[in-house]
Amino acid sequence: MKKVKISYELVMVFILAAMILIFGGLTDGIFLRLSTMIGCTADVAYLGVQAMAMTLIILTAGIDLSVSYQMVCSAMFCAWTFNATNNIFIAIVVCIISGFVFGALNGIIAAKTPINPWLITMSTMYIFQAISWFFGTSFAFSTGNPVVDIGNMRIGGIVPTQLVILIVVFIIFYILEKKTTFGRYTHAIGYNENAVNYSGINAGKIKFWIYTLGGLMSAVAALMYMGRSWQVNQETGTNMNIEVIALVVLGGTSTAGGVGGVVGSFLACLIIGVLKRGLALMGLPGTVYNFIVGIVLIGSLILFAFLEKRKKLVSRKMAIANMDEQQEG
Amino acid sequence: MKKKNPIIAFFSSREGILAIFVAICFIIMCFTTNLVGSMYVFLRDLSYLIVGGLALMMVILLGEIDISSGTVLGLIGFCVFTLIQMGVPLPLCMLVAVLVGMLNSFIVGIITVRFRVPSMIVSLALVKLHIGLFALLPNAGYVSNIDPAITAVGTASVGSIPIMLFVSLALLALFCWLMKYTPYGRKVYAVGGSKESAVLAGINANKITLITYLVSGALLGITAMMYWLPKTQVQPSSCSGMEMYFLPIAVVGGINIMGGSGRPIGILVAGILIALLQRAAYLFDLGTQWMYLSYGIIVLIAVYSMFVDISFLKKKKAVGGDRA
Amino acid sequence: MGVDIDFSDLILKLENINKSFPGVKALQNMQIELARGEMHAVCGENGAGKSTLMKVITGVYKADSGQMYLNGEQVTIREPNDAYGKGIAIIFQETSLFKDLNVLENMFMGHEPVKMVGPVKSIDYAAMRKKADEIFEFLGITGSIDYETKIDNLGVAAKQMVEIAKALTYDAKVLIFDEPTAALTNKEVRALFRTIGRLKEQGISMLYISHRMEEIFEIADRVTVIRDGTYVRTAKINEVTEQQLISWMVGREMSDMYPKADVEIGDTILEVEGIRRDGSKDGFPLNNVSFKVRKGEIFGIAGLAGAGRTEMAECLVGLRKYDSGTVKLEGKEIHNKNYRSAIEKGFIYVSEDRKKYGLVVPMSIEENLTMSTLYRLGKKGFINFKEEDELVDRYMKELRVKAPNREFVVENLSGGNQQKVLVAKALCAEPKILILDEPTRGVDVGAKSEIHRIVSSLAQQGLTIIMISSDMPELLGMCDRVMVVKAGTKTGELMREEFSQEKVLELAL
Repeated sequence: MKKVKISYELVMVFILAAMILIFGGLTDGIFLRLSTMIGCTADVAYLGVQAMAMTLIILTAGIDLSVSYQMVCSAMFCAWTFNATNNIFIAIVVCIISGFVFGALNGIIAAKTPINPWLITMSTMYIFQAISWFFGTSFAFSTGNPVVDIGNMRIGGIVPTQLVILIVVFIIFYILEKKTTFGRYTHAIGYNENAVNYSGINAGKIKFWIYTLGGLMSAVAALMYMGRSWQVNQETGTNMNIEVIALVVLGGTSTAGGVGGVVGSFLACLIIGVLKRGLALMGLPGTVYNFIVGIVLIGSLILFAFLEKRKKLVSRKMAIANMDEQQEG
Repeated sequence: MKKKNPIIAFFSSREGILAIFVAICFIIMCFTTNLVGSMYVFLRDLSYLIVGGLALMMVILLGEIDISSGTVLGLIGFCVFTLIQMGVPLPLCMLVAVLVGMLNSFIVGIITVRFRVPSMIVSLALVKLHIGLFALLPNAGYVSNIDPAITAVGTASVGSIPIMLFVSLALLALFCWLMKYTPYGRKVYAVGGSKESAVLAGINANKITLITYLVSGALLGITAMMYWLPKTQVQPSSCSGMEMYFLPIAVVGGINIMGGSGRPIGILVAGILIALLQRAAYLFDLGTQWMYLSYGIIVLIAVYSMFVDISFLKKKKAVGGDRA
Repeated sequence: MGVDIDFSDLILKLENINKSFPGVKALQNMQIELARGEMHAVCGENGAGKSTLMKVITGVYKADSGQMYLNGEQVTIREPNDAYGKGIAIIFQETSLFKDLNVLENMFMGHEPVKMVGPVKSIDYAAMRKKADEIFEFLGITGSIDYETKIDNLGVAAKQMVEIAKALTYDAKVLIFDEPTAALTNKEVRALFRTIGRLKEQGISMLYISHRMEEIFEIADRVTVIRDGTYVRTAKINEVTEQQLISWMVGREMSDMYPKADVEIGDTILEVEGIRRDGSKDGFPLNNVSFKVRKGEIFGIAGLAGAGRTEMAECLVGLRKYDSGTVKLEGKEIHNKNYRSAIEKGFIYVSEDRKKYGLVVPMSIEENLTMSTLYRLGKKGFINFKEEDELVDRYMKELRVKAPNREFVVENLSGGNQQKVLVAKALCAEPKILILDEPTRGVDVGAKSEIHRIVSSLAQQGLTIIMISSDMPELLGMCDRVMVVKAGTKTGELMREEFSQEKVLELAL
């Protein structure tokens, strides 16, 4: 007897399909056009890129509240450098380096001190925010700037480059999570960091690199964001961290650590993309989306806690069955 | 058993050393800036900072957190001042403020307790919910044209000391007593110190957690009233990030972020420090970024100092049963 | 102890108690009785179910079935509070005190005396002090502990006294001691026994869990032996001999339990000279510990809990730092700056706490087995899954890990099988020196003898094994040589010919 196992990822694919159909119906079919359907991912691709790294961070039972201001700060560094040098190549390099440094700062503190990750990153969030304000209130790019041109390009008129970048990043993170020792240890740290240290693995070092990856991805997201919206300002990062965390939690990654993976986060990103564009096409203001994300986040937290409890019960039964078998055998 | 002199005991404790530092800062600022001239504003800020700090202290003592403690002030402000505009009497409105605060904290508490979701994540989700809600409110929750009679209640003062300060000092005294002299207060420390041991001592940890969230919510309701009453208009969205005023107060005040230790008196000392910083940023005309920068760094240092043994603060000695 | 006890006047009686956990049937048809004013010892091997039984009595665990009688009346105890209310209190092995609170607050936590100040209840600290004074006097330790001291700053023995005092604040009539002497020095044990004597004079009934025979014979009136979660028998202490007790506990021939094979012992492989560390930071000093281990030998380290055995092992493999001293492997001086480099050199350490440090229990057997050696499988951080599967299958077969498949989650395995996975994980690293810390803690007797067989055959294959254990028969049954440590200092070394429990204890206390 073998039960058909319905994985959470499969459920998410169904939800995605259902949402596309519902919004298609609600918007007189506008949503069913291929360009809309694929195009809507461009709205959230930069969040998705950050969510990939955030997934690894949350897998280690950590969290990074500073992602949003890492992104804003990198973007401002980038724009400021561009204004000063008028060389986009240098600006991009500066952006990536600043993201790396921000992530590494989180990583060093997370690896070397016993302070809770949320407290570390909440503090650094305010530090990064303050730093970004030292640069000024806002920066804008104009057309002719390769960041903007590439950021708004659609390959073949349909597939946005934003989506392409997201998929590339997703594949890299998928391989990193599933096929490498790094990914294996990431999960293990989330379950039991002591045991990882007592297996001869330097858990601190792995955590450092995970947080640094978070910074790097924020820098990539910064470029994507600038390319998409042409500008960055003081208000940009407000509560964006919650959106990124919402993607990860919605994707089935447990905030207790260990459980989950990047596939869920990727699918969650597509779902949120559809939701955001669908609501907009229905003529609702963008702020409704904030409200709905809050509700969805709380709902999914409760749902996962409930599912986890049930899973525990099932595994307990399995354990007892295994024991009985042994005693007979 | 010899009793230590209580004054010496206080000044050799974490809070006492901080108090000396704060006093020095205060004196320096009195002489270098116009702090005395803006004493009223300083004390008014201090009033709501103390109560907000107490609210966060309660949940942190349990080893939990409530990040939505900033945005909820905006929500409360909107609810209360809409009622005031409708002509509901002020005392009733204050009750509503407390109830809304309690409801919000109850949501965090119940989800944390029932589903074992980290309270940090739950309250984060609530922040998103609040922000979304503000935008949905009529006129984005903006309330203006408040009756000067209402504002007068908020700005009432004796000399340059606002009446509100007496309220918050009374609350502080109440909580000093509550934490030390009631079984409930002791239980909060127990649950925060170790949930397992608390259960072994026959304490219903979930119940205590829920009650504490309610207490914290009530305090947030009072904080919101203290914050909004002296103002002539209410703009809920301006409250986002205010949890970052209260969190430093709690951690600098010596409340252990892992729960289980810390004294309310620390809130007073740390509250003065944070209020001083706010004033300093204003008086030196530094802009908010300096304030945020200092908050971030202060929290990191304060928390780090809690984990690391500062030898002159903590003298470890084994009493009884020394290993031969 | 001089007091006449009527063994038919029962204060506490338990019958047909059953309790099971995932992976373990902890208690089956368990029974126990306690007469008024009696000191009743409960003994059994590690994992026999002693602690579980006590936790059932005190309401920490709820029994699946069974009856409990207090003063002849049937009672149900749902939670610890019920037990306290009925006058049953336990002194836990791992103390249940709050380390940030002071002695007085701890003693009365959850049931502080209150007085009315006007209309409100307020904790009466004066009454608290008075009651504490009374209890301390009752225990004969007046003035030895300052009420204002934080628990964190107390030593092990003082913490235990606070636990006892705390139990008495509930007006306990039945006290349960769960291996109270495990971490005490000789002097502290004497002090504890004096206190216990006083309690007995006052008519308090006590259950005393221990596996130290000489203690049981010294203080107990009766003894109940349990084995594998089942009741064996109860006897008056003056009617049994130590040999009888041991045979009831073990329930099988000693040679069956400790299948030690004769091994050709080779040259010295590991030489440790004068390891010294300043323990003022974490409380675990080591003073000039030196020893030599030879190839194929099983080298035991005995001592009390907290005497520095685990710390010694952790220093060897680079999990802890030491200040001075040299370690020579095969004649070459080495220094392990971290655990990884120690693994590379052929050391492996199997932790005593398998759920906390040994295994990642929610992960599969496969993922756990290769945890410390994953980087050797495959290139540049990419895992070679085929190689991994083969390796895991090989070790699962070799150690006879009983599980449906290699993807089975470790959490759902029985204690013995978990321990086997832990040993297999160590073997994956192909070590030269295997350090086993409490290898049979919390496993049933069947699995225990199986693990012993594995250890013995590993030694036969030429592996050098260092075994740390609190289980004296295990050490004496399995080792070629035993080193005894006490408070971080080596106090002696015994060859197999001169083994006896008394000698080891003499050195350890």
